[in-house]
Amino acid sequence: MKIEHLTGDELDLLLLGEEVAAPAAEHARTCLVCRRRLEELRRAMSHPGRLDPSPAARQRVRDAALAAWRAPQPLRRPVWRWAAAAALVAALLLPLLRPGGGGGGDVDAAAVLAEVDALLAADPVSAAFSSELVTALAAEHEVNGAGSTS
Amino acid sequence: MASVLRSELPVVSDDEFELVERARGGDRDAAATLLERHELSVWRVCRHLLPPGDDVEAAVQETFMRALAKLGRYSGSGSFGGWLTAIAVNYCRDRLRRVRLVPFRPLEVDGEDENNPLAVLPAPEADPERTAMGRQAMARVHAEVARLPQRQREAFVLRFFAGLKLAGIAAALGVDVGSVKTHLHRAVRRVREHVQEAVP
Repeated sequence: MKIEHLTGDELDLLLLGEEVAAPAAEHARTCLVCRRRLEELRRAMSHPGRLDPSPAARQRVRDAALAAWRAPQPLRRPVWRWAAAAALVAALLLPLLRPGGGGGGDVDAAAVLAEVDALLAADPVSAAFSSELVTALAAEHEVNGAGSTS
Repeated sequence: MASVLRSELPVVSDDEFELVERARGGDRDAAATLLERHELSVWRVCRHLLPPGDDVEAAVQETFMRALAKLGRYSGSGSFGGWLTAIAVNYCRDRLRRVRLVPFRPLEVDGEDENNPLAVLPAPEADPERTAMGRQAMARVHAEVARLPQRQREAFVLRFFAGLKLAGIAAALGVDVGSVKTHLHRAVRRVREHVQEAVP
């Protein structure tokens, strides 16, 4: 009686963990020759541990990546920076944009913008919320506002 | 079996999802744990998909750095290991394109040189002949994998070396599961036939 061993296609399916026809599955379970062949192929296709990096190398690479990682901060500073800049520019330019607001001739827009840049460069957050600055700006606004309505 | 990897998980586990959330909040310990869990897959993918002679260690580090920078984009719909492996695959593809090494140089099959990474030793067996045959078969597998067309090689490496399942491989390669099966079947047939020529 001739023994029908597993075909190449059946071996491939079994190597990939897929199902084969019932007779082939039964043969794979009972035939010592095919079981050994399948096991040898599985072993040959598995990754040999010797090619894996040492624990020290793994840790070194992991640590290097983590050291270079800029973890997200709870407060995202760029947002505050932009908010502060927007508030400051709006407060300073508002008088100039009002009808007649720029007609006083005593406010130099370029000088104001230069001042804004300098303040932001020094400390944007405190510049935006400086009580002295706000007070001064409010006074400036009053003067210009009054001039435009009179 | 020692080669079973955590990246075989089909979806992200609660524990892993919590780690991802903590890492997104800046928790370095959580990020380290995530990397440690899946790093072996990334190492193996880089080792087998990079152009010959490329720096595997640098590739793994770059993969980790890209993953950490993109943590906010991880949706959680697939396994974290699969997502991380996809980043590694993309990095290796970039390297292949840049060095313009279209044909993969086959690795040496024979030889007992200590510096030869393919001088691998299967588990010791009582039968020296079988040990030698196992070593030869393993070396032939690695040599043939290096010669496979790129998509087949990627599918084979992700399945057999990185331990990903079909869905994970499909996600990592950006193709559907049917395509993965096709690539895998072709790759396995070719590798098996090559091994059986030498070790019938």
